[in-house]
Amino acid sequence: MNSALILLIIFSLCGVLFYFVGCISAGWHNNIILETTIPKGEDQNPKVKAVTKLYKKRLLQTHAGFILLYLFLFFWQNENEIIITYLILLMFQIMMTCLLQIWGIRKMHAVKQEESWFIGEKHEIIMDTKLVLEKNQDLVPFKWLLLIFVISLLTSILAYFPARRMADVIPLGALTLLIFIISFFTYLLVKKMPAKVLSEDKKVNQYCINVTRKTWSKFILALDVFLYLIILFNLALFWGIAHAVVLVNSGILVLTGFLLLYIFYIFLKMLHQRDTALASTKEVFFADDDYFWRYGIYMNPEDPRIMVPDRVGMNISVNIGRPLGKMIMSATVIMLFTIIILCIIPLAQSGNPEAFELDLGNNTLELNAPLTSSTTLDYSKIKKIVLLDSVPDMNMRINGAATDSISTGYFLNKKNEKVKLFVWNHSKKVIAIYTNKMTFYYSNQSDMKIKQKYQELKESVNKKVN
Amino acid sequence: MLLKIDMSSSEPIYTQIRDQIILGIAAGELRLGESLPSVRQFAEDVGINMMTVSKGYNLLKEEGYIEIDRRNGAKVKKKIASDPVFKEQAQKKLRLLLAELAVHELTPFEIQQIGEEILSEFQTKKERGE
Repeated sequence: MNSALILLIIFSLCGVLFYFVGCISAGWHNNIILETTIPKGEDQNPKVKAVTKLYKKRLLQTHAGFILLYLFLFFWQNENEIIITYLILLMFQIMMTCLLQIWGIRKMHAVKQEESWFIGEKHEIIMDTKLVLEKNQDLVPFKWLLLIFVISLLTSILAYFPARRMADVIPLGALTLLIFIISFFTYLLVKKMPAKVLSEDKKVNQYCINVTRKTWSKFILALDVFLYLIILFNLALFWGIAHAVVLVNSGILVLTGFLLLYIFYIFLKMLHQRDTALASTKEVFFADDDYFWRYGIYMNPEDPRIMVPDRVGMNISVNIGRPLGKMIMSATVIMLFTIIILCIIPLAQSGNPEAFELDLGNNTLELNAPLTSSTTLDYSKIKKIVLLDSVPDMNMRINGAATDSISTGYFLNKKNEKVKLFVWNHSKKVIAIYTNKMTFYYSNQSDMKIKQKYQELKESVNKKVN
Repeated sequence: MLLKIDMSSSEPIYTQIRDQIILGIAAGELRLGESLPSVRQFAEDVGINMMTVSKGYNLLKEEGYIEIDRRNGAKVKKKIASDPVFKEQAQKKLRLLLAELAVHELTPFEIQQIGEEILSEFQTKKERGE
């Protein structure tokens, strides 16, 4: 299948996902619809129903519009341009989703005011002493996370043996450690999440909290197992099990699909279990703190808490009313947009053939290409230079990029040797530089320029050798 | 037991904690010897300062309702006995309360009735809890 088509299917599915996630807040959960507290039974009120229907319609129109735009991208046929445009559109899609939610909240709040539904003015926090003590009884034990970490660490050590190089262990070991640190802090956050008292029924409260903690810890565990399997797949490269390339790649793809489905399944199940349990209780507690949730995120300068449970009590939110909360939120938003922009810049560069450089110095040459690190080679280390008509077939890419236009970064060739490519795929000539350790391939947009560079390089090397 | 902390109330939070825990013990919502959240857990869950919780807990400890252990956290005492000092202090408080009721022209019968109603409410809750 065309790789551009696969990308567009993934982007469209993400759009569908955006729609369904957006619809969750328009549902009736613990007396709250669109971040607005509504008296029990009033979810069937025609005005409330009209607002939720309109909100869902606008959500559908917005995301369907974006999906259509993504489908139009198919006619471009250039992967880089498709990804860049998608990332830009994605930023707009995120912004539109947030704006739409604020619009929905305002509409629902207007209904509340029209109907004079003021549930209470007290800012009261209810706490169950027993629930606080037993809130983590169904949390998956930490030892499981520790076990996955130890197995991952031992697995990454296996990367040492094929080439007997510590340098091969470091990336996998560092990745393992990073994953462990992230999952450790997420686990801690879930563990410390306040035990929200949802109803007068203590058994229901305990049930809801157990279901929530269990789901969240399962989610962390599933993510860890997934990342461990990715490490395992990477290890296959070090051991040179390259004939399993397709199997490894499709394995990762299938695994990602399964993981996403599993995460959705456990979270939707949790929501359903909680809603069913709460529906059976006589009285559901809620604080009339809609004002603090008017932007869909908690903002209360009077509340000293930085992390607060969300309206439904199944998630955690940041209090942007506090200076630290503001800092956390801005850092997250800046990080998200920086990641997107950092992805766009090299991608935009990769579409530019001018970015493929071979600079000849007095003693060394420097190779540069998008989406990979630069390489400096000493002329004395070069064994042979050959001008080829094309890059030999590769078994697989280790890192860098492999699109229709460019092949950059480390690859395994048919003999399972590690080689490094700085190649513009549309060129008819390629310079192969052989050293004792590795072979490098270089090309740019002009065959003339490649031939010229080849001559200059040969002269420089010969001069140095003589 | 369910503790309701009113953040907008003029009554200090530590006295709200103290009063509600005593009411909880009387009504059997908190059993003798039952564990309470630690100061840190309490503060983190409600979102208040640890010093505030600590102040409330220390008051309860001084008055003989709870015991605080560094290892085991806070617990309701297994036996809450009344000593002569407590009786004297309680009598003082009751005197002031009865004075207030008398000033508001409540008859001795009405006062007695209120007292009996509250005590029977504690008893009923206790029995239901058991």
